[in-house]
Amino acid sequence: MNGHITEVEFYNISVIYNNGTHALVNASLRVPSGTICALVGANGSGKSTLFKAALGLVTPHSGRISLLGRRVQEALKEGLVSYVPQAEEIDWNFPVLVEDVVLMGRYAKMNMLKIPSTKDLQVVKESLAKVELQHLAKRQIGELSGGQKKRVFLARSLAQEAKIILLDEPFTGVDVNTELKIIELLKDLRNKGHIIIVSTHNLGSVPEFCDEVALVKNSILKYGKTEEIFNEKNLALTFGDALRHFRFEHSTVDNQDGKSIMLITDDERPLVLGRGGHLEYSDTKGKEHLLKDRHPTNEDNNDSKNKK
Amino acid sequence: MIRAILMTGLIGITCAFLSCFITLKGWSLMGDALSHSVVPGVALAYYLKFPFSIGAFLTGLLAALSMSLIKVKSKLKEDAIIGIVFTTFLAIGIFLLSIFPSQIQIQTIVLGNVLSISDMDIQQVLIISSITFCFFLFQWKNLLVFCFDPIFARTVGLNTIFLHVLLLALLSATAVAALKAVGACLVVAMLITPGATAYLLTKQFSKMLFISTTLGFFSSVFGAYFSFFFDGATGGCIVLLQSCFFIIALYYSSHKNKKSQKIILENSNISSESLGPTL
Amino acid sequence: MNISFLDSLLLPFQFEFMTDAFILGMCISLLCSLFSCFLILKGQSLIGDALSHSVLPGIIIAHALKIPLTIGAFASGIFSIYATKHIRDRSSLKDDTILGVVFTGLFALGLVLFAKIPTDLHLDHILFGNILGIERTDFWEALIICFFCFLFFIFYFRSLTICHFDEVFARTIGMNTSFFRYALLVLVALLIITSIKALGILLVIALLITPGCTGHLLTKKMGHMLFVSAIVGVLACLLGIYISFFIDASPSASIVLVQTSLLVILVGIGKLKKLISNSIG
Repeated sequence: MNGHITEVEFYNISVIYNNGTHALVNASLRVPSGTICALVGANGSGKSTLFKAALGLVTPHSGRISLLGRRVQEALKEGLVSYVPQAEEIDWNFPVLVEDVVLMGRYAKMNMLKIPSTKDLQVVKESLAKVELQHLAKRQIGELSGGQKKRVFLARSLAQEAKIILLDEPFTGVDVNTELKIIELLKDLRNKGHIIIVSTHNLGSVPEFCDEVALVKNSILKYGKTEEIFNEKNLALTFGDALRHFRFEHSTVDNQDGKSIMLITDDERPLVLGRGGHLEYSDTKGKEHLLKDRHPTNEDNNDSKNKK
Repeated sequence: MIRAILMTGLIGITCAFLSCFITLKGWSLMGDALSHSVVPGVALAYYLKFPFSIGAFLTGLLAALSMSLIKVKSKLKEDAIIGIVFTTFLAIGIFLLSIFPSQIQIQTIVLGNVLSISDMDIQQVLIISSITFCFFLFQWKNLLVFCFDPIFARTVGLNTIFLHVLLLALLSATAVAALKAVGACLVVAMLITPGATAYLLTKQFSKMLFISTTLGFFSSVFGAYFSFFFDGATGGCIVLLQSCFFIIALYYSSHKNKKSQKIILENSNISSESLGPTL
Repeated sequence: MNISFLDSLLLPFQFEFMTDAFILGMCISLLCSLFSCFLILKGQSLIGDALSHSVLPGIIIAHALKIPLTIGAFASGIFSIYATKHIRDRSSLKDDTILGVVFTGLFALGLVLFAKIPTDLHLDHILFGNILGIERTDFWEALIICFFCFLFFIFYFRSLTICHFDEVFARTIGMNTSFFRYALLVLVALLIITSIKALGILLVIALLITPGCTGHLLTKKMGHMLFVSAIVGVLACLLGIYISFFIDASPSASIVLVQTSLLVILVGIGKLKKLISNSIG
């Protein structure tokens, strides 16, 4: 067991489901510590399958997975991996309170009788505070809204204090404020050295907080630093015809005339601007100022977004 | 005696016909519940001196309606509701029978006995079967849509509440009829197994109906016949035969599926180069 | 006047068969109520129904071969679980349909065997139990099984809660969810077999459903649910046997009716309280 390896590696992973579907073919990916890596791809591209392989929920036909130098089962037993699911298969009538769910995150560290220690209860309190749900600790889980439920599962993941955090579509069904809060939390964890892999098809927020991007289309087409990988050409490769492009010519945007443009996109983001092939991000307040700074001789603005 | 056997065959056909709808709707265990819930009706009918079928039908329907009501009003799951309702109804029946002495043999109600079928029973079964078939003749397409996709049924203007109650009523009536032949414990088998067997062999509903009713008829007739040699364990013989047909159908269909799966896998040759990574 | 009333209230306890019935009933009710909490949450309520019908052929064959009935019943029960899985793997039939086919088929087999193989088993006892006439060996066997089941519960109820609430999560923290799933089924099967001798099929089925539902409707937290369920189960058992002594009714039917009544009454009180507090607030 090599304790010095501080990265997550998938090497040539292939997964074939029972009905013959090739979910993943020779997928390879390496994510170092202190990184937030986005898994970007259309529905059905294999993002969830990659997670399931890392969690031991499916067995790859070929290839190997190394989680901080350990094999999957060892890493799970040591509590190195935590998973924040899309939370769709839960029975919300189940008699557990919010704090009970978060406490479950501590179970791997408890004894056989699973009696929580003072430290466990303390960690639960702190995790709930980090997602701002302390006031709902005694509520039954089904009483919460969709966004709140997602935060509870995130709190559970935080309580696990795992080095590797896998999040499966954490922003679906979640309002903008919650999304921003989650992003802040993830950045904080990243700064502490955790490895965070986020699967998302919400492209707008990717450049804002993800250091690296992996493009998924039944394999890993490319991966690397966001600045290098996350561009129009590669997104077109990943999403194919699903992508929509907008180009602004000189005639539309003239930085001398003080006109402002607002783009309303379907992922609740007010505006996405790009400069020189590099996607940037701002809210409505900042856009006019950015527009005026633009040099008309640079490349055109590209606004790429995913369309279902 | 031949009449008793033929009557059993008729019950078999009716149950098998209904069983296609029931398995499609996912009401298999509802059938179980109903068949047990009719017992207090039989007991009350005996004490109050009116025909067993009516008593059984009424409590059966009452049970079914209570299940639907509780489902709407509580967070309990369907199977739990079924369990609570049918055990309570059955307990009421047993309770009454234990307090007030009666000539009803609990065993006959629970296990059935073709040897004990009287002419009046045959009459009742004929009436119930005809009414059931009449309803089906006029409503089977609607019932099919309702069973397959109740939400869609509502959007095309079908009165789903009426269909729901109708199906429950038909189920109760058929359960009551089957009670005579196979008893409360095995009615559910006649309402599930033929439909399940047919479902394994075909995915076309009309074919399913045909296969199911044919199997239902043969297993009932031969089962009733064999039960003479088994001291009247009619229900047991009929259901055993049905189970044998089921097992045969299971292995036949799974063999067929394996063959076609192999063909699919051989044809799906995805070359990994076209999806390879570019780093 | 008072003395004789008290005397008559205490009358049942003067009979050893009654106190035995109370003790046995209490223990079995307690365990079944605890298990029922997990069964009803997972949509497995009718497993009691299925298993208790499935064990019949095993019992009869064991009787014919002169081996302990419990072993025969257990083998039959395990076979039915295996058959269900076998069919599920080979077909697209729904779970409840498969369950119905398997357990009715096995029950039918049992009935046919019963008709042909001469036994001194009373079908009545299998259906409705014989708590007032339970044999000494069966009595102790049942208590021992209850004790082991209870230990299992004490050790594992928190783990069982996680596995049932979020199985995917449980697997991702390295828990062996298959072990818990099958252990629960096996213990339920064992408990059912033991209980049938005393309480009969009807009551066992009800015990594995109604107390849990009562707990579920009255509580929000698993620990509380288990507690309420256990209290309701045990109380219903005591009251049921007690009442049946005085009006000479079937004990198992009486217990079931008390259980349902408790469910209705307690839930009714809960709803009334909510109604009152809503209209005030």
